[in-house]
Amino acid sequence: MDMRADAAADRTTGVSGIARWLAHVSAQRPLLVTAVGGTECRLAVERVVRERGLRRALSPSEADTLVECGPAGSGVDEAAERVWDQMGEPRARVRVRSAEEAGARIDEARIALLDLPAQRRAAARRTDADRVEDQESAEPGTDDGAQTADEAEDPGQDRQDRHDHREHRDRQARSRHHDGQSHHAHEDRQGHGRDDAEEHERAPGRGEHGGHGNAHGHGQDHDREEEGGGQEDHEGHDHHDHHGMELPGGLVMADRGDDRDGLRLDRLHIAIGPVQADWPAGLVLGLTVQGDVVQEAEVAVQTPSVEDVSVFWDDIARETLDPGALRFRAAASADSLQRFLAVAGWPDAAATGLLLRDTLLVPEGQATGRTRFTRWLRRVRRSKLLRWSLRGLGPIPGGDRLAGPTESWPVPARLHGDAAARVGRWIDDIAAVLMPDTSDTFLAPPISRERSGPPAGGLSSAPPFPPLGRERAEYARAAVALLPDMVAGQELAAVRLVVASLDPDLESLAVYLPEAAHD
Amino acid sequence: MDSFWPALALFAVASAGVLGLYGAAALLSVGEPLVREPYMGGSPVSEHAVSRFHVRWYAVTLLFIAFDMEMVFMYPWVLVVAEKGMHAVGEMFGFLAVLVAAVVYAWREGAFRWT
Amino acid sequence: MIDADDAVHWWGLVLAPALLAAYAYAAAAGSAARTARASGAPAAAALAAPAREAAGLLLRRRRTVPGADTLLWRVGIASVPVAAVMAVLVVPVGGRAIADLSIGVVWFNAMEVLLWGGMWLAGWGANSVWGLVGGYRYLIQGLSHELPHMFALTTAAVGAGSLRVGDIAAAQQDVWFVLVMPAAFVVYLVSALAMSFWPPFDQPVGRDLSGGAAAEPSGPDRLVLLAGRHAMLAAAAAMAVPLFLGGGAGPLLPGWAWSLLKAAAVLALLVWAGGRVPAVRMDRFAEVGWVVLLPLVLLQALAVSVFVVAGWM
Repeated sequence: MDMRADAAADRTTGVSGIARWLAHVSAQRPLLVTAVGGTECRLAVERVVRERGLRRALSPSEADTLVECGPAGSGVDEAAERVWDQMGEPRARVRVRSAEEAGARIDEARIALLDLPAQRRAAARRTDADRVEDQESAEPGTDDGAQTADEAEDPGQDRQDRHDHREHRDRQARSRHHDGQSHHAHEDRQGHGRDDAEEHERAPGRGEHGGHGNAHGHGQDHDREEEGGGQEDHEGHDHHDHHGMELPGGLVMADRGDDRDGLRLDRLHIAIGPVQADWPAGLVLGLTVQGDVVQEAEVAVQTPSVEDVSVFWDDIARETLDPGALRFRAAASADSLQRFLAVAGWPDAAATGLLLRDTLLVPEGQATGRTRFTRWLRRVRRSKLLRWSLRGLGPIPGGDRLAGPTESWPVPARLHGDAAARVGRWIDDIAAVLMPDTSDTFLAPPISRERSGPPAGGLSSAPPFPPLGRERAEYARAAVALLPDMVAGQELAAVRLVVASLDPDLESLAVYLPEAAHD
Repeated sequence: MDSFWPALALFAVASAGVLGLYGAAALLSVGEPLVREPYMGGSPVSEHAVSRFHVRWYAVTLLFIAFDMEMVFMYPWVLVVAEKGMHAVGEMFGFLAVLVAAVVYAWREGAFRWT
Repeated sequence: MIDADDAVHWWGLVLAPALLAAYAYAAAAGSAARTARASGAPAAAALAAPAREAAGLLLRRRRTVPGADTLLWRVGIASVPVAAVMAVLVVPVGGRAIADLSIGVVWFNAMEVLLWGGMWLAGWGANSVWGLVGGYRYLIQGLSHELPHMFALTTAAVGAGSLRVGDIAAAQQDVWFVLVMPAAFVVYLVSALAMSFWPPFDQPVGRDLSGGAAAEPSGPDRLVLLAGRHAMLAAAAAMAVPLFLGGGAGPLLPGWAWSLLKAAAVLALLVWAGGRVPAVRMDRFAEVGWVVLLPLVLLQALAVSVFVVAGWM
């Protein structure tokens, strides 16, 4: 640490002046984390990001700001912590709890990013902590008590969170392996002074979930899996040829499995979400892939921590009991559509969709920019390339019934058809507002929408539609139930497109159908 | 006979440019390289990603090799076709027709649809 | 105004990479401006976006992954701009290239093929599943577009009866090849987008893979990779000029001005066209590339060969 400070002091003022100028001109790249219940914040943050001309980041390697939208305490926080750890300096982290403070928080983050000396110190601190861990793992059993002074200075929440998230992370990682993979070296570090031999998980031949209950001392943590203590792994229970070979990072190599062609090739266990660009908030899709084709899938739904989460789309619709509520449906569809277009690799169309969504949410917004949006809608609707990419993807036949714990229910009509049909229904929703005179529909047979026909001009005390949130909850429940089967055997691009075409709203699910959210 | 010294010189220039970028970044960056697990949406990583990737389109690679061998003949053929006349054209495109037949066969056998 | 065939223009060693960098920046800026217009923001401010991103990347810490194949990873990333710069060895500006090799067309092709290895290494070396999948996506993309690309190049070469880029440009004094072999030109443009994994062929670095091969590199690695990508597109656009658009020929302006203008026009066309359509999925495109594009360009080549032999060209 001292060396680093000296080196920093030794930098010529020229270099640090240039660095300061570069920091000043650089554009912020925010990475958005949406907690369940954070839809309103996410919309506000996306709007602010768009208005300032910033581009959202896709991964922590290109991000410099972590923006957590929504209430704290949901299951997404642990993933956010991990992603925060993976970001390199200069970095900043903010939490947006309500729509109004989105701009202010992003400004705060920018100020933190411009403070280069503090960023350098933070980087040096992390580097030192990593180095100390390396040393410690290379000399097992020594009590180095290696809390450097900087570590102690670190905000306590850093250590605490790293501690907690290592628990969660290790447990999750272990539960993912069914058997025989026990030599993944997610050994848990104890506090100082304990013999390393006690710390290691002994789980010969099985993934032992409970075995690490003893493994969480306080004190020295490391922020990552780089134990390097691979030599402790090979306690004779590996049936792969890793004997004596230390694998970096404590991870194992991929194991093999059968696939449909009758070959036994390597499989990787990956996960998409919850911190993922253009991804439904709170959804975690665990995949076993061979090559880039999915062999198995499992869906996990992160639940919100707070009980009084309310569905954003419902709130909006309740505030206006007039026919204008149709535009909130269109806004919700625009939100899903722009996410879908981003996943389909059409960033320009997605950007216009984002603009449309923001425009529709503004009370008098639907009058502005009508020509541009109409043109955009026509282009998306008529895009042959899009149709060609989506043809036959993710089909849900009509007449399916899904079995719940106590009852079975039919798949909502809105989800029927393939991905192109579902996307077409979003386009229809938007067209109903933008071009109310046209009646052509995109590919899908017209779904009888007697409930959502043009409402009578009179006033009614109740909104003419059922709560949007309730519908979305049903769609989400069906989507979550169908997703593993729809996704198995598809390649990764198709998986992302299928999920984007379903776009389950887990916030609504948590509010209206909470029993389905805990699967 | 061509001299390839300019190519070597250009390679040196390009490499110098890339190294210069790295050097500038080394001077300016706020810290040393960060060693962390790869990004997995915030979920823990369970294996090294370097693995035997099941390439399902390997049939396409075989077709490509066949055509690539043909290209080895086509580049010199370009230089002499004008003087050799229709004879040369007929031979080359006859060869190509055979290869295209192979492509059609592979297409019908589903080599281009692997999902 | 074609110099002697063996002339080597050493000053081009500095000028060509500088021009390439300028065009690469223009491509990035144009793409950013196009997206900004689509999202309703003023396009002028977005023209500086690539520079801002580069500034941020110079400050950022580099990243690596435990178990990453560091040497191969960095070699792969660095090979992207190096291949792009090497490719412009033979591209003439106003009739003068750095070195007008007698096999210039083959050289250009070879430099593009370097990218195959480079991008796969860039994906593999990162030890991340997104990079792995992205690298393999680049390979299948290459397999699908490379043959049409090579045949498009050969068609232009047949039209001139030479593999020397200067000769091909000179052979277009009566009529530009874009009019004689339009299918080859279109196929060349499509392959230019594909070889530099530019939208709509950007699945190797696609959003659905969290950035694909560009998911892990950070800091200068990322800057080198993305700059190389834009440089490759610029190089391909620059090569289209002597191959299909008559080189430096044109009234009023000197040859080099026309070369630069035409290259800029092709680049603008590519950048604009890239944003109009969604990304092409490789498992769908491979079929199209082999069954549609390849016979098309083969027929074009046959037609041009017959023209040449019959003396009409």
